[in-house]
Amino acid sequence: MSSAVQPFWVELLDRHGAVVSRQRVHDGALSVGRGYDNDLIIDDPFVAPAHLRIGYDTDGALWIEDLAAQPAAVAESDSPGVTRMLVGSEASIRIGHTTLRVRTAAFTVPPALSLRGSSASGGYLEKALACAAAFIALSLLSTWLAQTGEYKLASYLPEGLIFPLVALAWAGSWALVTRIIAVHAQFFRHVYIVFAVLLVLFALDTLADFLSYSLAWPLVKRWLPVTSWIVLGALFYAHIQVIVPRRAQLAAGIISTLVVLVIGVHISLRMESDRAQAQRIAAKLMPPYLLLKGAAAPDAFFREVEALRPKLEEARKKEPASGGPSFDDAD
Amino acid sequence: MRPFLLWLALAGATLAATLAATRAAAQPGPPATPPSATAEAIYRDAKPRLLQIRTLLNAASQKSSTGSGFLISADGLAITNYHVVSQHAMEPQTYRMEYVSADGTRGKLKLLSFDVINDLALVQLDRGGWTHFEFDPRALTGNLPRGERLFSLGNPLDIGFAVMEGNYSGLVERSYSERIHLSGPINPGMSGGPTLTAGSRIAGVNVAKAVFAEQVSFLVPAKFAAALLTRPRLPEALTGKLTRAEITRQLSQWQDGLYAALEAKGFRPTPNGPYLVPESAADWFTCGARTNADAKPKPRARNDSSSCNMQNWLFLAGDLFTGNVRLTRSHFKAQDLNSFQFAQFVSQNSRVSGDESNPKRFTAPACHEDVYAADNDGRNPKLRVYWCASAYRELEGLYNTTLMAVTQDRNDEAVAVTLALSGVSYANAMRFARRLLAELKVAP
Repeated sequence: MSSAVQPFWVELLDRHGAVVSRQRVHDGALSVGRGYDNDLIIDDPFVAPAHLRIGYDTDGALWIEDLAAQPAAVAESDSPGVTRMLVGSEASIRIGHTTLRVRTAAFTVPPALSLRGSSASGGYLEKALACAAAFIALSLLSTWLAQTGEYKLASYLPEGLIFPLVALAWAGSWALVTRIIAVHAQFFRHVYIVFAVLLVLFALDTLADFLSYSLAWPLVKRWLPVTSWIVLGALFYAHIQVIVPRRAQLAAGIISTLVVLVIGVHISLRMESDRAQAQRIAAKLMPPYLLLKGAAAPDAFFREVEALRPKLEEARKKEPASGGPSFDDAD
Repeated sequence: MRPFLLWLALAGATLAATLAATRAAAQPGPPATPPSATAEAIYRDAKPRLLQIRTLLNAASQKSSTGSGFLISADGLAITNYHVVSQHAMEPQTYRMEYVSADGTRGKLKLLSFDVINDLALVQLDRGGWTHFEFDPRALTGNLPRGERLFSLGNPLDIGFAVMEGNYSGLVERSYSERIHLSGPINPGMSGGPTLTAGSRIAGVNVAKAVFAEQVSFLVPAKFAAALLTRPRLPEALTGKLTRAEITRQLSQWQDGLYAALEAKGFRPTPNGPYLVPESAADWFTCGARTNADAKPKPRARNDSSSCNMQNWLFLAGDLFTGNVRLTRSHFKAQDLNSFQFAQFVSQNSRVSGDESNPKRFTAPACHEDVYAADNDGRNPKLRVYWCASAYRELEGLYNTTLMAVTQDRNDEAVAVTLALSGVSYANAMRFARRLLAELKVAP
């Protein structure tokens, strides 16, 4: 037995992966279980009286051995039934409903964050301010450019005050949840996320208006809401990622499934309403100098118009979507 | 848009309410003046030749609507309005017709032919041996003198046959369809009844009255009723499909004539700022103009617009009118708006108007939009053009179309033109729209 045994740490984790308590082991071996003959006692009814042994083997490698009658200790990344496993730096072990992590003194931690510049907010304060300022400025500008009536300060109120306040409240609620679950509220990070997403939505909307006018692509404007769902999904993902970074993949999976579902419903509802009622959405006009597309000659334009006729003829033969049958005879 | 005319068939459901109102008004009123001796004679003479025509719901044998009619042959041919029999014509399996003569006898009616353009129908009674009317030869050739006394007969509000006096005021002016302007009353329920000369001969057929006016009524000239007798008859076993095909045939033919006539009349260039905006040179339109110049608070851009309407509505069913042509134009000029704000102003004030379209009658519209340049002689401005069309479900080959064009050559001034056509063939609509766009020019 080597006398220069390296000490190691056993850490008890909560379900989000945060350390609840840690114990230093000097003599190179530790027994874990519910019984009082263990070095580390765990009050978990699903843990065996003598459950684990952690220690070095003759080659100097740190091992965890499952002593339970039924093999129950499972490394999170491993398959059940293994009774001995080599201890890595990141792997955690589940026994019963308890999670453990074993680290040696050789484990290296990341360097300390600088107190200057990226302070306690981790640099998110600056980013949040920049995004919020950009969003407010751009939406005030677009309100001004769309104002054709009397000048009224009140018409700038939604973009200038109400929307930013709602966004702050939104970020605040996420920060509160983060504080409860993951200790640090990370308020500015949430503010940054919400304003960044608002900026993206604003940019998409403006781009859609521009393309539908400038290139005469009215369909862009019609189908924009579909892409907005993806952006909204990203918003939720980013917030959740702040709270439980370890569950990010799961969150991504759930959110993308929901987004796909919502987009599916959206498209089918849109098709339904297209069939039933007027779709006369015309592009929002912009100054003519923004027109990029060359003008169609009358022949080309009316060829496209003529191409609508077979579609109408086909729609005519189908039963109306609502309003009841119109023909009283079956012929 | 709904027409300002009241078609005078009486819908059954509204009858009780109408009657109650009429009675309430009648009781405290002054005693009626006795009719003139002529009217008395005409009424006595005409009564056995008059009919009330009822449309009944087959399933319930309940009255659905009533109108009037008159006999024109001893073997039981009678004339009424198409709109009086339209329910039966469109849906013969759901509605049937019956007549009630002045002596109270009832019987079945058969639809022989109709003319949707002139709102007339020819029906056959189930028995012969009738006294009947003759057409006035002066009316057939359009030679009645203005001011001549005329007598309208029918069964107003389903309360009994009546005679009402009016005067012949010529044909309705500035109208594409030929109608007699009668200065006198006709009332709901009198539709399809005759209007007679003092000699008890047919001058015209009661059809409609103006809603926001007193004693302005309209008759179908006698010559169209006479022409109906020579039309080919509908087949014995009438189906909705057959009727709709016949309606389609008549409308298609009519609108071909209408658009050929409109094109032959051509367009009149009307100066609007730097633009010359086409207006139809035909005088069949009723136009109205509007401006926002005196609006408060002071508008930041001017919008002077005018709307011309042909008021050419043809009755096909209670919820289906067709045949109209509407041409509107708006001239926009920025006063205190930058180019973005002005573009927004033009957008807000030149929406493609969504005519309420009944999904039972029309398909959802299909639309196309693009940048457009007619480029005739270098004087056509660049345009933004929108086109929407919906098809009539029951009338194959007929459409409602809307064209809107906005000029795109200036940052502070623009003209928007809208052309809304109803009951038009696709080819006519495209040709007329293209012609209109070619005429939208920048003044030299």
